[in-house]
Amino acid sequence: MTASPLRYFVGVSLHPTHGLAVLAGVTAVGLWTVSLSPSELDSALGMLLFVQMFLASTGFLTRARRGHFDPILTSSFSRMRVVVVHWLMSVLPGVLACAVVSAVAWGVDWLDGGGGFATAVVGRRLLAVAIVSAVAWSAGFALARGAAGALWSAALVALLLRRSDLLGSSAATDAASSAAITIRHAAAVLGCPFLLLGTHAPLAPGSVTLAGCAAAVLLLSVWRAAPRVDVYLRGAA
Amino acid sequence: MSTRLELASVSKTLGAHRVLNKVSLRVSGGEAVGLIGSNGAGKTTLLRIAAGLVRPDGGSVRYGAARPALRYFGGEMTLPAEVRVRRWAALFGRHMDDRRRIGELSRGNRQLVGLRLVLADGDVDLLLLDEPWEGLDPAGSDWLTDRLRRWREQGTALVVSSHRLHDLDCICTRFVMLQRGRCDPIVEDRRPRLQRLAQAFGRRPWP
Repeated sequence: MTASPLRYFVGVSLHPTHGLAVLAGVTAVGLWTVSLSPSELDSALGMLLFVQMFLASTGFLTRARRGHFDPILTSSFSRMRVVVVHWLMSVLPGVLACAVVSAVAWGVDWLDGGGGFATAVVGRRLLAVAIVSAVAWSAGFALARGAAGALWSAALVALLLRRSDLLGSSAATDAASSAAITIRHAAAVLGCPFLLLGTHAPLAPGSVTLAGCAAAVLLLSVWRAAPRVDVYLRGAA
Repeated sequence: MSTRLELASVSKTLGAHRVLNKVSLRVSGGEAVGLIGSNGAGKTTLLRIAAGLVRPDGGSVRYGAARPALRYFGGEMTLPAEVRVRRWAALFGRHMDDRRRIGELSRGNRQLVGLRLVLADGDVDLLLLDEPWEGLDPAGSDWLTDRLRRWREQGTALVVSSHRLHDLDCICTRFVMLQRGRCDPIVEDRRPRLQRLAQAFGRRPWP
């Protein structure tokens, strides 16, 4: 009787209307920016990633414990499948916006016969989008909608105000310090995926891959844990 | 009729509070079990365990089929207020010509929207309803009672929790009472059933 998880999560509106309006506005600004200068793609993506931090943290458990997902959670679909589709639908608007802006930047760059800036380092940009989409949703799994985005951005602002050097010294003297630097850089990328955009920060070899793996492990852990989480009604005995 | 739901020694603790303590309950097709108990007795938790939404700390939950056709309704407050009625109904393959948001409806109408979709025709093994008569006017209550009776007669197993004993009495074939986390079957005796239920619940049958 119940719709598929995909249709269900489209129907119950995972994102607030004002959030989608902000995304539309930022996408429009991004499109305008890259149409004038494709080399500004990373600036446009940076703005979109910031919005994605909020949009992707849709807060599965909070709404589930209000009973909003009861019909789909009591349907014949497995809990794991429901949660994975919830993640997909949570990150989809932001990912689509990034894809559209990137496509336009690449198109304009190609038409202009430009220097290929927009088409360079695709992997890093993709990874930045993936990390934000995975971490914001996972961290916000048990929080209210948008809360993980708010906490994450507050932490980044605090680091910015303290003028913290996220990467620290990159000079390794031995294998142990080299591994420590790689881990530190991976943690920095995980906490601040914006480091993957723009002029490249001097990241240790392997740190970007490690950060991507850590984000994937975080996401998979939440997917695996979700079926064991109790969906009791908030305030009910 | 075959067993549709079997709870065996189910226990659940929420925080420091032991909500359910080795509760056992078996429901067969064509049976309607009335679940009664005071506020906080654990009726909602028991129903959500039966629906697979909450995992018991101990004991087991078994269904008659590997993938039972199960419907559960936890009350109007579980409906997403910002979703339009028409859109919500479409998710269940139904049509309701109402463009208002669910949150704009009165409490009784929200309850009716939820119930109409849960009780829409279909092949259902097990129906779990939490306080379904809450907020309904007499016409709505009659409709619900009639509808539940028909589901039961079609062979569906029903577990219904409510404080409205007279409504429960119209559809239920037997009753269990949750007290201090325990599930006590209310045994048949010579007194009229409604009076006996009310005594078990500690009040007069009619307000």
